[in-house]
Amino acid sequence: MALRDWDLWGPFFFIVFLGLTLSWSASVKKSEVFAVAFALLAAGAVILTLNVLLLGGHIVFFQSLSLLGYCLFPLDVGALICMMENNVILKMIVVCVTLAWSSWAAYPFMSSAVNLSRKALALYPVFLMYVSVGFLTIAID
Amino acid sequence: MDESSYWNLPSSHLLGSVPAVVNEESEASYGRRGGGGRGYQTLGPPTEGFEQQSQNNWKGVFSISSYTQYFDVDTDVVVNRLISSFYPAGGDFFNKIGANPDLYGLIWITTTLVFMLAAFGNCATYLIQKRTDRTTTWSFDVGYVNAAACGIYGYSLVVPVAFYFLLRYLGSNASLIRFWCMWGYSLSIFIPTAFLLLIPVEILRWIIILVAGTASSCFVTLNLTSYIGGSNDLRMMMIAAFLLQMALAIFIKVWFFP
Repeated sequence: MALRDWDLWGPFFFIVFLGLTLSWSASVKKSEVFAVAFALLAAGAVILTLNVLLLGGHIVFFQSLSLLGYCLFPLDVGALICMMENNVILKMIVVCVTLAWSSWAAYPFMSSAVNLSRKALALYPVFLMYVSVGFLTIAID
Repeated sequence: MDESSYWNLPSSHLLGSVPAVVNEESEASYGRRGGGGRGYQTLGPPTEGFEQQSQNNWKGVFSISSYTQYFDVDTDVVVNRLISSFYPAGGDFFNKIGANPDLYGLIWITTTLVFMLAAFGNCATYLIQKRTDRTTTWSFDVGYVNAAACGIYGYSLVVPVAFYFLLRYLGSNASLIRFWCMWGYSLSIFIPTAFLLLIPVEILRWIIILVAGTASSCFVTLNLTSYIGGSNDLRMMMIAAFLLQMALAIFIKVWFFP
């Protein structure tokens, strides 16, 4: 991925798509589900970037937003599959695989941006965000 | 604490910011944080002086570099503080923070707790309904996320501010950042509690939440007492802190794990 050419269309599309997919899968409170998913992802990306900057890391703000947005692609695929499936075990497996894929994609960028002694502090929130999105994907029925 | 030294300085013209040093002539070089009322800088190491702006204005509020001082912690420091927050017995959390309070703990512990309450709250509600009525199906109530966010973020932001203003009004020195830091770490014990509250036995749930609530409240109260240097007037504050934390614990049990 050409990291220097960041753009926000991709992340925007992925976030909206994930929100829509989760909203379609929900049987009640659809608009609230979309609102929660969109807010979580959009605010989450901004806050994660700010977190790295505050810990004294060196990243470009929009580059990081762009990367975190594009790394949502596996979770989008996972959410799409989970929308069409109803088996909980299968959903869990799919979400775990896509979660691992997303984390593996985001890890090199995030870990190289901060000091070695603060790496875990920068990576934990990324992990938290992806796990919460994964949980939403499994839990929404 | 050395903070009492600046009570003697003429500081009414430095609206919203506090000079962090002892004598007046070095005031200009160290003193005013551009961060307005938010960054309450107590005594930091003198090398921070060159980052600060020479006049008192609000430009620092929008620049990241004026907040990095509150995130100047390494992984092992954070883990150390986290583990010490699980033992309510020592009253030395403020000594442990020293001159380096961090807001990292506050932000990410509260966020983790919000997620845990929403996730495990839904699971636990389902489990306990399943015990009484075999035919219930899983339903995910996304309102739990809203309630958790409002409750936890609101509590952890507002209560330290309230205590800060009250204690300042009553004359003792208090540091908002340290209060935020301490209250943030005091919530960390609720994270494994949320996991344990999945057990669908009602009595056990109440025991667990009362134990956790007591531990957390003792942590807050003991640290607050040792920081303020408890006198009789301030005893009300300590009791209020204890009760507020217990109220939060009860709220968590009643709302998310009915």
